[in-house]
Amino acid sequence: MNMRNYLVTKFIQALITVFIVIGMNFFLFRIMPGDPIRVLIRNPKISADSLARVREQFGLNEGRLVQFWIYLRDLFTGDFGSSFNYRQPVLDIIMERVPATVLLVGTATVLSIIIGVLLGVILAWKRGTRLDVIGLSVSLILYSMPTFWVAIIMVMIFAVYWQIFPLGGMGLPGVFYTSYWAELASKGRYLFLPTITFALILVGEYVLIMRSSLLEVMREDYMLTARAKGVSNRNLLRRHALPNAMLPVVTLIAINLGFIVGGAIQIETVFSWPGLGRLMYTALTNRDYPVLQGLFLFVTIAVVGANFCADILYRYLDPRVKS
Amino acid sequence: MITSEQKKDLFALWKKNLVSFWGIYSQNKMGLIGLVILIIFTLMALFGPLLVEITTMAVDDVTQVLHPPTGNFWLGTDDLGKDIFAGVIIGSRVSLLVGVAATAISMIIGTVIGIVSGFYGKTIDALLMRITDVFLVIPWLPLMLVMAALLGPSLANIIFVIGITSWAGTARIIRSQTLSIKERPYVERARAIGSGDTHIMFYHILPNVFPLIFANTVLVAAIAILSETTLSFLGMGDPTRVTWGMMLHFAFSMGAVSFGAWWWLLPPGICVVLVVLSFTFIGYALDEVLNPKLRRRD
Amino acid sequence: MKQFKWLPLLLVVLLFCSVALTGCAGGTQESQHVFRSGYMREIESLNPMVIWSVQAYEVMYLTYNFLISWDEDLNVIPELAREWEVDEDGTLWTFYLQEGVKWHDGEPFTADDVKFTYEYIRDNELGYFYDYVAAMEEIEVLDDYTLTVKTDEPIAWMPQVLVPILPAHIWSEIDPEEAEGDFANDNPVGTGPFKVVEHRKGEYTRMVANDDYFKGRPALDEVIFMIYANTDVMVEALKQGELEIISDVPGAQFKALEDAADPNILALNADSPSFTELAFNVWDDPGSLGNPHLLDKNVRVAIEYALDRQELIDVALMGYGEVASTLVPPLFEYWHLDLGPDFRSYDPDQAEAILEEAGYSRGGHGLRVGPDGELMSYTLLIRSESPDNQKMATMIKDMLSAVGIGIEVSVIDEGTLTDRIYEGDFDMFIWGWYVDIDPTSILKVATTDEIMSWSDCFYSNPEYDALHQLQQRTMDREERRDLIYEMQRIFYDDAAYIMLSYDPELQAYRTDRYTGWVRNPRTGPVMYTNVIDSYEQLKPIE
Repeated sequence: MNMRNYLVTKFIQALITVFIVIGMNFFLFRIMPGDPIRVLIRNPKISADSLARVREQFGLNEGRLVQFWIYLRDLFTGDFGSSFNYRQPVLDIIMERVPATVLLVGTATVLSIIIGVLLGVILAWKRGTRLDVIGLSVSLILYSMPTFWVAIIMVMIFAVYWQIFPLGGMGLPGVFYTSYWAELASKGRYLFLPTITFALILVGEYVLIMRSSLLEVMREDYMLTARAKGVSNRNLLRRHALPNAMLPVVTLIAINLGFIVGGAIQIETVFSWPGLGRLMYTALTNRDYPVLQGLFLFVTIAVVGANFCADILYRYLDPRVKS
Repeated sequence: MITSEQKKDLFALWKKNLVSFWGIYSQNKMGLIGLVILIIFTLMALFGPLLVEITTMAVDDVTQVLHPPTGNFWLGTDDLGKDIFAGVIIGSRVSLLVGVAATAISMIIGTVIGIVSGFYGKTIDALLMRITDVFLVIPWLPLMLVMAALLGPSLANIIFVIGITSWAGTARIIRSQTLSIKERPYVERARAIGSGDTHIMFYHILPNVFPLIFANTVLVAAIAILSETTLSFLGMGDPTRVTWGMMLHFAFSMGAVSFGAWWWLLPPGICVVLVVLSFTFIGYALDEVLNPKLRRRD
Repeated sequence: MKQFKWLPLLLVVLLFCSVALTGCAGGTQESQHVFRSGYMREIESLNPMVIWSVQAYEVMYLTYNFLISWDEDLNVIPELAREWEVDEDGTLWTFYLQEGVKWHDGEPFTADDVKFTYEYIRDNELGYFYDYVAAMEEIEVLDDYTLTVKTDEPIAWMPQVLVPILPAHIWSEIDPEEAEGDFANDNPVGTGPFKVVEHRKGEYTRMVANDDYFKGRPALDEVIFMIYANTDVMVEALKQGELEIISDVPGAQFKALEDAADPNILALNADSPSFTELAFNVWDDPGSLGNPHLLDKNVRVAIEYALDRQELIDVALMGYGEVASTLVPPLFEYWHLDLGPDFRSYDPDQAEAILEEAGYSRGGHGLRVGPDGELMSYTLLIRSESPDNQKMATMIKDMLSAVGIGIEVSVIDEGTLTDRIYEGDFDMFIWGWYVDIDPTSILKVATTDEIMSWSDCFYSNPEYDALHQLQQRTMDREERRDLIYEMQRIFYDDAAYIMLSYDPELQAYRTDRYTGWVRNPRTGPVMYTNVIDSYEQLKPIE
């Protein structure tokens, strides 16, 4: 299948997925127990008129199908509804928090990929040695630890016991910095611990996948051929093994996105990092259904989109297609 | 229908497979370690709470709130004066139970969808796989949180939510295996003599996919336990039931971190890590047993 | 291979050190007097018509003023109104307003703003403020600084109209429907000592001092409310000097602060007008889904005798709290009724005696059986948001099983609990109230009119209702007090609530940077109380 057909197929698949998710999102929330109005209006002394007004505002009067149509229509105009808690448009609230999460997740992912790939290569090369066993065990253990627990331990060690890093948040408002460098360094201090924690969580899996992928590649026939031709070890690694072994890593990043979202929620909660993950947690505690609904959709669409990009990238990099 | 002769043969086959299976499995160090750890925790879950009651280990001492480990309290006390060691033991039962129950639901759904999808092919396959893909793509924690929020905090809901959201990977794997088994001779033979679809799926495909199911179950169980811990930590668990996740939830919200109560924060987490590790080790070992390519050539 | 391996590791280590060091070395400077206050819950909005949380109210108090305020003895003192008088009938009030007060945007404050505010809220039934202005029949502006208010009947609690005065020139442009809905009020304009300049939802809200504040510019340049997702982090921030004060501190952390006895941190266990109660479903309507046993006063009274409330406080609340008795907390000394020997203190034997006599004797399983042949087994609903309530519930279950009553504890979230209350689908639950300075609002909670509204137990007593109507209209303080005493007695007697504890406000603040903290009332907290004196009076320690 040539590239263009592949692209189109994948795109249509992604679109269908998104549509199913939208439908799911909608109907999930319509089966919620309890009268949504009560959750919305905490003032028990509200007149019947006001109640009716709000019902209309949130479209809770119409039949299910009509509501769905309205929901779809609103979505396409960027109206994700209004937050119960803040009384502001959900999309605005979400967009406010995106930069913080992108900063955290982006930095952590890049860091963990670099370290993960490197370590995976080293371990594969030194397969069977003490280093390999230790490296494997550590990666496995990290992989088995609940994300929030790792975060709590990091806070305990580096922010409470040794007060090297701040306890949380993205910075202290109202502080006047003497220089740009100082401001950067200060913001960096707040970013450091959550990022390192996140990277620690992600690294384990990258190391394991990179290692096994490389091991598998190294057993492939073309590797034996190259070695027989007398290609040096280093060149073997760099020019033949690595590029092929990198492929699963690309897929892994895409598959991992769901996991990354889960990790972001936990880390942002423990570190009070003002991003989308923390917003989800707060919306959950407040039973702010519009925000929950909007976030879920937003995040899922982002993940579907990223998966689509990864699929394209993979296809582009696949050596079997190139040759 | 199967005759009793066939049944006896089936049984002998199973036994033979099991013996040779164990022969290979026991060679794998990781697998053994994992198994040992799992057995320890299973025993803890089964008999622990009984022992706790008998030895009155769970006697609370309200004057010893948030106390580090001492002679009486091996792992110290929490903010209500309750013994944490006892808590960890009692918590093991529910934590493992939830993990097992959720895994069971997930595996059943995944297996059924996988087999049906692979067996029937064409439209049913396309439809089911589309749905499976959707569940594969959706980020699991937000989905679980959203459902748990809608259903309310309780253990039954957590089990339900985990079960409903983690079957996709299993379905995919089972489906591919089904696809290849479908073409095997004995299946053709069964069809030739007029066996019904359900019969074939249940008596021919299922037993052959079983090793794969087994290996996959273990890995799903690891995820289920991690999920329950995370959901409970985030406040979706039942506050009146003790699980490792709930212990961490209370520790975090009752100020264990700033208090420096490492004896409250570490043990439940370590237990979770050990159990998940044991499942992962067993999973890896099973993988090697079932997939000869992965075994070491030494 | 060799250089390959070490380079990235070295980089990471270098990065770690440099970041950590530069952070420690400082390079920041606070040239202004910035005051940071930490809290656990969010400020949901800056629009007074939609807010309900304590912290959002605090921001509102700093942005806007009322006509009056209170001193430390809870006497009413002037604020935006410098003087007021009422006619003989008690229905015509005249307010003389402060002159020369300016809104944050420079416009002058006049009586028109007051008239506009009250009418806007009254005519559109906005927010929680409606109750205060509902009885205002006619409001007239006599001149720029004088205003009359005619009420349809004498109101005992006037002039304590707790309505923030809004600028007419801004709010008259706002559609009332939006005022209660989408209007964010992101740049609030008020007359108060501080003005919001930055509001990041879920993170912090920054306010700067109002240079033209009519009581004089505060010494604090900025007040920043920081929201924390986690108590630990908040407490650490206080200890490390990032915050000046933290409020609503949970018992365990508060105790830790008390024990640590840091000379620069004061842990304040302040009296607060809030209480926790155990409420029964006393709705005697066939539509009620509550257990009919609970309609029998003997059962409720027996339950009260069976509870060791001091023990509940000592264990579940870590000792922070007082055993509660009547609806009006003792903090409001003037109105609180001391029941003396009539108070039903812990006496499990008495509980058992009452139950026996009323026909509830022990059956199988150690549980008592009622005259209708049903087991005494009830469900206690607890809010998932309150770990303290959950702890209490476990203890209550044990205490009641000792006298033969079986309790099943069910934890649900506040939204679901509210729904079930309105459907009458509950036996008992634990919740709490925060009481206004004037007792009318808390007493109202037990009136028949408020069923399906502010009332949450379906209590209905015509005698009580009549007294409530009367006390609202009684302008003579002593006369009114007698009526209020009687109301407290009646409600206590009927035991629709078992008052569990009067809860303190636990705060902790630093004493090494600012001085001039004002407690209001005398034994109350320094902030998150009814007045903003501390914010107005704090000065840096030189």
